[in-house]
Amino acid sequence: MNVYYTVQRTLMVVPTIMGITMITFFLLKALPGDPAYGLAGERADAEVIARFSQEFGNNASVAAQYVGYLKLLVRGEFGHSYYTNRRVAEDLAEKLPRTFQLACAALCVAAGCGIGIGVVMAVFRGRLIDRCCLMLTATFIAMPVFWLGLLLMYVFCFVLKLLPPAGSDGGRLMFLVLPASTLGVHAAASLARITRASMIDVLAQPYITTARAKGLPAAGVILRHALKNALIPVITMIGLDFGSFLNGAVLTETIFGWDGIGRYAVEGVFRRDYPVVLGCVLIGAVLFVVVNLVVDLTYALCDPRIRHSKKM
Amino acid sequence: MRTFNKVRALLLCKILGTGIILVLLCAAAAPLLAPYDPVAVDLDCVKQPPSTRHLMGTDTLGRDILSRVLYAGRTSLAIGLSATVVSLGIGLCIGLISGYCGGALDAALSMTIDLFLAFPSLLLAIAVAVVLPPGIGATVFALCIAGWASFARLFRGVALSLKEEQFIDAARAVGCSSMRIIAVHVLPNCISIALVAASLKIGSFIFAEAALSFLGLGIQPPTPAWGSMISLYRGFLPSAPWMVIFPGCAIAGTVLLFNIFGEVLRDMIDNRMQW
Repeated sequence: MNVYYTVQRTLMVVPTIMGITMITFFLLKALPGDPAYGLAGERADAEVIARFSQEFGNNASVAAQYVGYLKLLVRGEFGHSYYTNRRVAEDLAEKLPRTFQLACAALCVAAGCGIGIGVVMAVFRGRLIDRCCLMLTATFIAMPVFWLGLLLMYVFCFVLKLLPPAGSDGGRLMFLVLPASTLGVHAAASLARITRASMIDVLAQPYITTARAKGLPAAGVILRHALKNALIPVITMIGLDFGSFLNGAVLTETIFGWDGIGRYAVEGVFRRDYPVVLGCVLIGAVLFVVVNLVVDLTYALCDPRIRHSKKM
Repeated sequence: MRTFNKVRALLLCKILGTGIILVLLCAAAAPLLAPYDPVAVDLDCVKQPPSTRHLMGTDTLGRDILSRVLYAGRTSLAIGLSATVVSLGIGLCIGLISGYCGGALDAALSMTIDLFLAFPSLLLAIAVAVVLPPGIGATVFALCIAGWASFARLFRGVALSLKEEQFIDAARAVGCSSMRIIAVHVLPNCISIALVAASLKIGSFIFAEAALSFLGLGIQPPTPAWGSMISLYRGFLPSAPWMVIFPGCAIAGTVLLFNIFGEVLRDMIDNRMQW
């Protein structure tokens, strides 16, 4: 693995994260009133507000206020919820693992269904089953996540009465099925299309013909020779989907009452609890950046062409 | 075979285009088409399932769902379309300048683009919409903040490749200024790509608008929007599913039309571009 590329790509994260904090800072400034009140809330203890205002430096320049904001963030101080007066950082640390659990489950759904369907589509290219699947994936991509979640809930909870409609109950598997499927279906549909395209490219390669000509069984050729090589773009896409699950989690967790950061953010939105919303946005963006970094590094590890070419 | 495929794609394009125009017309002509007033309360027929009198049923206040879906289409589509157009404009300007001019300006602009792409788009839109007072303008603004960067990245790439073309060299040789080259020589060559990019992206803007109004951040009641209708009625899902199903069908159908239209257009123009 090229050390130069790794270091360069990792260092690029620093300005991005600085920029993210700058944007959340301006959002904080856009709130009416003093940014210290924006983080602590007007009903917070006088001592807390004093601490925040001291950090921001009353009447200081915007740049000095930004530095104060950064100092607060470095100490893990995202402010206090207006509503519960709990520290946002603590709440986030508590809720993050639940969202992670949900995202991992969704990823399993997406990768399993997506790659499976994609391979079937590529093998039966142009036939009825391929066309049906193409139409089906296009339809799933066009469905809003929250609506799909409500439909699944209606069918599986109220009509068939198979699964519980909401809650997490200490992470029992039954409760995970619906939210994970809802979150994963979009990604599964787009993964299926990418797998199909990538498999079609690979299946046209001469080494596949060679493998077939040697008389290897068809399933072996498809799975061992073709799929293994077709997976590289798919893996990148899986990583990017994992990051975008943060978007979907906001809606999915709200519908299914899953107690993760998505629902936490939405509760913050409903109550106009600005420190909570800004904290979630900040953490969400930082996670997104880190996931993208991991994806890029993994990709370079898998594909030697990337790590040697200069980034545009 | 190639000609046959082309003819088929053209036909498909026409059919989808007609579909899109029909959807837009339905939304625009909502006052003419809607059988009932979308905000008129009729407590004599509350929560009625779809029937010949109310094709999509009625809600908890006896309002006709079909009329509400049509009127909601006006707001949702207007916001989705205007957000797409504005983001496309911003993306074109910044992307072309960044790609064509290069140097320090390009470095600064690319960094800004990457920064905005680093946010999960919905979270960013939510953060902006929360800070602003709700309304149509604020929603469009939030969607643009979250959406312009992907257009800018696309057009930066387009400008980089166009820059190598001979006609640009020729324009530079006769002494055109950079701004003139961008406006007169580069921009016209981006129109087809811009059309495709816009039709591929409209769906995600409609989604984001629906998500914002689902969270109560977009258009405020009593003005109906597709997302807020779903959020308003989701508590009645077990007893009156039609109230949730039909607005969602409207979103899914519209987005599907735009997506397939964009894909067919893209395949007709060029399939080697990075979208």
